[in-house]
Amino acid sequence: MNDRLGRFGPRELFAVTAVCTLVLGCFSIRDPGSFRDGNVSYFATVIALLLSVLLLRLGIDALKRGGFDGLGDRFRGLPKPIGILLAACSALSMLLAAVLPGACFLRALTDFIYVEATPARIVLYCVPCLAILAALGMETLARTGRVLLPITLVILAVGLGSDVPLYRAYRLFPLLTDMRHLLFESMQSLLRFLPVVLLLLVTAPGAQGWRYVQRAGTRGMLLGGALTVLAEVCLALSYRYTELTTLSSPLYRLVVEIDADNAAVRFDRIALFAWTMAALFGSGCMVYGASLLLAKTCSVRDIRPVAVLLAAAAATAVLLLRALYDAGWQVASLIGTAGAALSVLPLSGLLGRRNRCED
Amino acid sequence: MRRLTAILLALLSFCGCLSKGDAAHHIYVLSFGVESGDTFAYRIVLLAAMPKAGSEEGATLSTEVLAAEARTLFEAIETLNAGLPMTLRFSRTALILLSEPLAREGEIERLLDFSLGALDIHSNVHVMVAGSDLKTLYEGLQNDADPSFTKTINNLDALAAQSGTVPDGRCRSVWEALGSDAFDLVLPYIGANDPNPKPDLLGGEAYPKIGGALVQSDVLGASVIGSAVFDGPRMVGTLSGWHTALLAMVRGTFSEGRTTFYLPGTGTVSVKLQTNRRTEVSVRDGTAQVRIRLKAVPEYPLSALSRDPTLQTTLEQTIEAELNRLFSALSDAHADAMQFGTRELWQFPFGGEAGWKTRYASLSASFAVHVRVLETGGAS
Repeated sequence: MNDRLGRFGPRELFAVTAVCTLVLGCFSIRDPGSFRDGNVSYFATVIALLLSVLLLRLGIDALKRGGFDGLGDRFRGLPKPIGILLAACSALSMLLAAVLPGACFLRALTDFIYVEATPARIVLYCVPCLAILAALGMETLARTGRVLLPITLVILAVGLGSDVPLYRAYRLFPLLTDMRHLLFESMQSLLRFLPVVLLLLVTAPGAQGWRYVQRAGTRGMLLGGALTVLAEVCLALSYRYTELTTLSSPLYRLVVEIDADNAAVRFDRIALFAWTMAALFGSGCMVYGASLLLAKTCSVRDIRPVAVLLAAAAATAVLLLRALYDAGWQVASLIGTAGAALSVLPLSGLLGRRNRCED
Repeated sequence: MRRLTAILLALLSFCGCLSKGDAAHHIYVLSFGVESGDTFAYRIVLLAAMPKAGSEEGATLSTEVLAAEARTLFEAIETLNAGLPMTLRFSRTALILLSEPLAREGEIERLLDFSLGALDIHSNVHVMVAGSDLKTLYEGLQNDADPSFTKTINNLDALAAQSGTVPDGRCRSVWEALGSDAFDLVLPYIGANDPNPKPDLLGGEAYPKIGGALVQSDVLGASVIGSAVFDGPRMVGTLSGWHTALLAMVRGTFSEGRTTFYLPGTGTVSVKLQTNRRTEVSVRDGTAQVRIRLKAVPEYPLSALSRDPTLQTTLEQTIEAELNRLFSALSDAHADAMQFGTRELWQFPFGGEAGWKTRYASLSASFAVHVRVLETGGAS
């Protein structure tokens, strides 16, 4: 089977995990109702991150005990309709994880940079990039991730650091007004990180051992999650919760609002493009993960047509979600949340003993 | 493969090259202001930079003051575009002015409720209240030495940092203040230079150095000094440069400035004030307690000040008295310009800002100023 998985080391896996976690944490659509009673995003992200790492470890443990190479191997061992259903849910979850940051950046690009271009023209430009990235395979993506991670970290550090004089602690208040609100936000944040867990479990066969998957995956998620929390704290110090309910692309606006005499005054364009590249990379990883899972479960010999198909589907979904943005964030975030919730279902497939069906 | 991947990712940067436009084919609006119109509701006045007639395209710029009356900003832009040889572009707009009468009517929220993105205006654009006719004011700001307006805006930021006499007012801070119950808006005040002083400090006294109108003759015909204070969306008064600096001390944004006051036995003296210590503010049980630490550098008359043992005490008492006066005036105007509401939030971390303006009405404040007089090198 031509699965384009290749072999990659723990450092590459760490980089891929960190970038994907950061992209999904910082640049997903967030329901403006999340800030109705205050900003608890940074608390919720910490809880979600810890739960995600726990689920990753539990998933790795279950697959190791069952003697499976990865999640695709496990689903292939189930009765075919169930295996395909769980694989479809996982793939849909990863596909949505590819779509949500894309929709977020498409809005930023059309609102702030390419104001006279239609969203479709920008997405059409990105489709070949996404399809080729996914078709090149995990080894290529992993090695590219190792190059992209330091760039993304530097850009984020400069962007958040340049606004330090504008941060005010009073904007954090009120804190934790409603525990139910915190719980709900934690679950929403968890659904954003679960596709990364699925990606790690799906691409585990290329990682040269479960020990490396566990170590690199955990560290990558913790780094990406910590940076997400840092970004959310900086946003909370910059904008009160009443402003965040109506603000689109708050992280981009943070770097835009730099004083004219600051050396980083033109930094916002560089930051937006660096983050868009990271989002494109993250989307490529998720599309590849979904393609690999479907190809393995459905016994498709070559992953590349599946990758191209899913890349086109993701691009279409980005356009649809962009249109829904205009109709209302609530609808868009509801779809995103419902779709991400599907990632919970496949994890149930980890239960049970090995039951391999011979090819 | 890695190179191919890297090239593919980098090519994303070029996806904007779908069409190009010539920068010289636009008129760049450096600033625009809104005041009441004679025929329509508003008059929009613009300070725009355009290529000089007879010069090569884009080689030299001249600034022009344009005006149009309309019902909305966008209607005015359309009207002007129809009568100009080039399209107006707002991507270099650095300053938005709001006339004082409109600000006092509480129109700021409505007038600034437009899409900055639609005009490609940066959200950190400066916002000021104009105490004079906008056309006169913009004619006063025109300067051949700085046709792009860049130096003027940079000097404005430097003035705010180096003197404390001008608050930092950006569009973003306008929206934050208007959307928050925890504090009120303070914006820089700009006016045409005027030899006739007007009353100052929320309805009180003649003062030679007043918000926006210095008694002077200068290169620019307009000055930015002092601030306009708001109660919610409604402007309630102006503060002089010195009182704006006092406000900055309480808010914790003051770094250095200058004060002139009367010292018994010496006369009128000038002292430079500096601080690098955080202002301590606590709001509890209906009382705000403020502690400010300053360093004072005597400037004039140096020989008398360096021998005067009462300088420190007099300075502390003078500043404390002025702070009490300032707070009293702001309290009467229901304007929490000192941002005491943001300090109260610390006492109610889980939500409690509701009803702050009601509580502010009965708030009392005490100010403790500690001054350390630094030795100077003496007159040369």
